[in-house]
Amino acid sequence: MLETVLLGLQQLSDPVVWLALIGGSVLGIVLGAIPGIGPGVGIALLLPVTYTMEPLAGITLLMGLYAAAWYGGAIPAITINTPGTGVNVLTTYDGHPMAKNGEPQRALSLAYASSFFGGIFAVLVLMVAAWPLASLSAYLTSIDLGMAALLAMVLVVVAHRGTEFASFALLGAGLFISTIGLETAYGSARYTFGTSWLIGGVPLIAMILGLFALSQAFALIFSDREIDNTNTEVDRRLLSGFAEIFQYPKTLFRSAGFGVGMGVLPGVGEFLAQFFAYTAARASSKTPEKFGKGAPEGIIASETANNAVPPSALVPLLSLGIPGESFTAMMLTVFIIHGVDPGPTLFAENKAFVSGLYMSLLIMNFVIVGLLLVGTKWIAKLSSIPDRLLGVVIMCLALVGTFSTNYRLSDTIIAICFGVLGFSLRRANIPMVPLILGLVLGPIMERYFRQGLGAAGGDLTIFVSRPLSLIFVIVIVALIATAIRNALKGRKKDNVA
Amino acid sequence: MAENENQDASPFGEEPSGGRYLLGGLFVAAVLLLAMIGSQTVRGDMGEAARSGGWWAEPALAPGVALVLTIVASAVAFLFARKEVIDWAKSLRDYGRIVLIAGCMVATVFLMKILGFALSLLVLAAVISFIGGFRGVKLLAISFGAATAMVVIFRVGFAIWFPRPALFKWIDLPFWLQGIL
Repeated sequence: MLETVLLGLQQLSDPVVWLALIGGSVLGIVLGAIPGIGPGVGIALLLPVTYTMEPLAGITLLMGLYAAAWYGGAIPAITINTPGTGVNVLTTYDGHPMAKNGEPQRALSLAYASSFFGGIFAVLVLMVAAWPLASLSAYLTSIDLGMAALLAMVLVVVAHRGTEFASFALLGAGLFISTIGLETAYGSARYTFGTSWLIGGVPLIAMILGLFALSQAFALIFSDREIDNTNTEVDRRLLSGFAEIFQYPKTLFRSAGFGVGMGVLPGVGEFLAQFFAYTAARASSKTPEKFGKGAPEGIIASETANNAVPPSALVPLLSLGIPGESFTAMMLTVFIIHGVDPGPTLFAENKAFVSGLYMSLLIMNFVIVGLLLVGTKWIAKLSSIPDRLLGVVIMCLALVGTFSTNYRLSDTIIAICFGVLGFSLRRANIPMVPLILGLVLGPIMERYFRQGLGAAGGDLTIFVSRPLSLIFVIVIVALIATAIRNALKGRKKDNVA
Repeated sequence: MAENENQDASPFGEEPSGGRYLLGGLFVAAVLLLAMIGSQTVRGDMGEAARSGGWWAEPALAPGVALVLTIVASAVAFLFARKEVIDWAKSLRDYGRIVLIAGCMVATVFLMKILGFALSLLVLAAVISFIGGFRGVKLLAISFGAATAMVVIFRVGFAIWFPRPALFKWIDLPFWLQGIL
């Protein structure tokens, strides 16, 4: 344990890691505090920058942004009743009424303290859980790992209730796009249409910038959101919540538990975590009638659960090399670019990196809270920036980010195409996550299945002859069957209505 | 995931969203791509060792499976989707503006080779601001502000290289200024 701490501290002696930590945190808070942007755009825009950094600095920058956005998103949720990000919706239920009752400081302080507790709790779980899970995964075969990747994708798809088939279609599209380019077994150029610029595959940076950043910029340019400037005045008395949250220990620990549990599972994420945490908090509260009117437990439940998710989402990524959602999928590309192989070998071959990451994740929460305690007064005013202005800035950033990666016009055109696709998907309320997961996990899954089937001489019974693979097959089939049944039920309901 | 949760309401809800047409388009594209699989996944010449890989290493296998999944799922999703009455005029207007912005972005990449990084981004920011509804002083302020921010972030901050524009062959600027602009 002491060795881990010392190794981690040694890694943190690099000033670039500190710059990444602070820069990511500041950016995350800012992007979280501006309604309508969120961390996805920031991670997409920063991805090309992280490729030039050491892996620890790159991942720290992205994780800082990811975690800090949920902290920042609570500010407009409380002050102007507009969640900064989608996952701060439930914070508006009790945060804004509490602010309207003349206690904006208390609401913000409770939100920060709960977020801090959730974040630290989840990092400690990551430190305890990832290593043993990775050790176990050393006993997994290629087929098992391929099936785990497939299970992650299926879980993500079935988590999107009401859009299961559309999600499957997008997953297929993502898997297909990931196969474009030169394939290694036969050296075949797949779907390159004779061009040279597709030989290396569809550039991931251009796709991600298009899907996340450009599509959001298009949406913002057309936005007609009214800006509510009321109640953004807060002062710096924001420490009281750090003591108050411990008056509700059950809510605090249960919500952190929900956050961790949902974070580890692929495809579930912050929204369900906070929903479960909030519902459970209300059900077990002595004063459930106060929920929705400024109950402190409501703020504690939603913010603790939200912020426990990002570090927990790293558990499957670090231990199995399998991301469970789009943000960690983007982070996986940073590992790939630097030749760092997440999964069983990571803990054996890159102990220093893992220790450094743990330490940076712990310190990150202190940095974010410090920044918020000092800067909330000004950060609260960010929510009044017009959407269309943000759209202009994001568009310029996305263009430069795309073009500067390879200085190819084709990358810009690809980013625009994916931007339009992303815009259409947003408009149609069809989730983009399956597409991104297909893109990132497709090559990994193909490699594992090729290796596994090659070792078995093409014998398909390999999928059911090992106990773990058999369990994966059963779970995947059951999930798909449930998804189809749910879709059919929904269809029947629609017809009756 | 979480970012997308708020978009995860049914795509086939009360508000016409165009989701059905999008899925229809995806279906047609996947069918066309599957029809090309023979010509677009021709084996390369990596030698006999690779050729002995077996059916599981066939280059057509992965894209084929992915396309079949897309076709089946998009077809079912299309059939399950509620019929929508789309406001075509509004959709055309919105997508027309997006095409205009996309054209400006492509033009900016070309302009970078002529006017350089800063000036071409100034033009792009001005055009997008105009499309976004800004006029007068606001338009000028946003354009100059955005272009300056890009120069500070990418040229000064990250020192990212961009091709030397033709403009600097005609105008004699100090070397350090050329490096920034």
